[in-house]
Amino acid sequence: MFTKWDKILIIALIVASAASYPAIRHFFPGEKYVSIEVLGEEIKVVRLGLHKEISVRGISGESIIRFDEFGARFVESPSSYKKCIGAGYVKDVGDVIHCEENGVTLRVIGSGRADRAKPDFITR
Amino acid sequence: MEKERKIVTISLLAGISVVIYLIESFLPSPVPWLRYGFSHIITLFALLFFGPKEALLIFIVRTVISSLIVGRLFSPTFFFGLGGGFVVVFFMAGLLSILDGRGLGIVGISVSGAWVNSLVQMLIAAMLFARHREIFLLLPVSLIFAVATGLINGIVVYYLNGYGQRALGYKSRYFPV
Repeated sequence: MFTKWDKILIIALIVASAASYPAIRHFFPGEKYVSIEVLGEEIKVVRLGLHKEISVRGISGESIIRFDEFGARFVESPSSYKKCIGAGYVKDVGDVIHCEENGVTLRVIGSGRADRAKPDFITR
Repeated sequence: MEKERKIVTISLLAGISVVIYLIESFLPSPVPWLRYGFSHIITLFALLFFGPKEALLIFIVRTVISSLIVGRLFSPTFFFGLGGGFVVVFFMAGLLSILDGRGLGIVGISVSGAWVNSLVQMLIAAMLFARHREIFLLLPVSLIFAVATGLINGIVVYYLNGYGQRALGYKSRYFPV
């Protein structure tokens, strides 16, 4: 019933089918978004990759977040040492910057399920 | 007389194919839009005994009539089935013609046809109806599923190949017993 080539083909097709999963995940990465939170409450979700600046009012003043092809980062902050700005970009799912003095958090989330990771940076 | 016998046999095969399709539509499907494709048993059988033209005719008659009965005519699943079916008939006919009974057996032809069918259907779904990444993530499941159903179809056709030659008196074009 089964020739030698039938068996080889069946095994090869099963392997190719299983291997297509990581390949698809690699070639079709999901869209990423940045969730902007103030005091833990989500106030805006912005898709990564857009070029824009968003101003957010926190507990001690205005924070300005810039979005570009590299990700999202704070460019203005009322905090004393401006460490939010020094923390740089968030770009991968799970990246989080929490600016404690102003109570503003940037959190990168995926398109499917929101990965609610702990902060990478807490700045004062 | 031989021509009439052939016409009657092809009509019967088309009818059996419709019945298989209808029974199959009652079976639960593990993935949305995914079908078992057991009616391709008849397509492969027709390819072995008659040729691509007759197999394609049976396939078209089966797709149109059964879609009409289950209310899926011109629905997305109709187009997936039609597109995948066209490709699979030509693909299996090409393989049979090139290999001419060497290398791959009936089961191998059936499995590769089912796999290609599944791949083409998913591409049609992705191109025409939903360009979501999630559609492509279903591909591995549907491909492995296609290997399993192709295997079942191939085993059935393997036995039908012997039966067709002994009981019906037709000569298998590629796998004579």
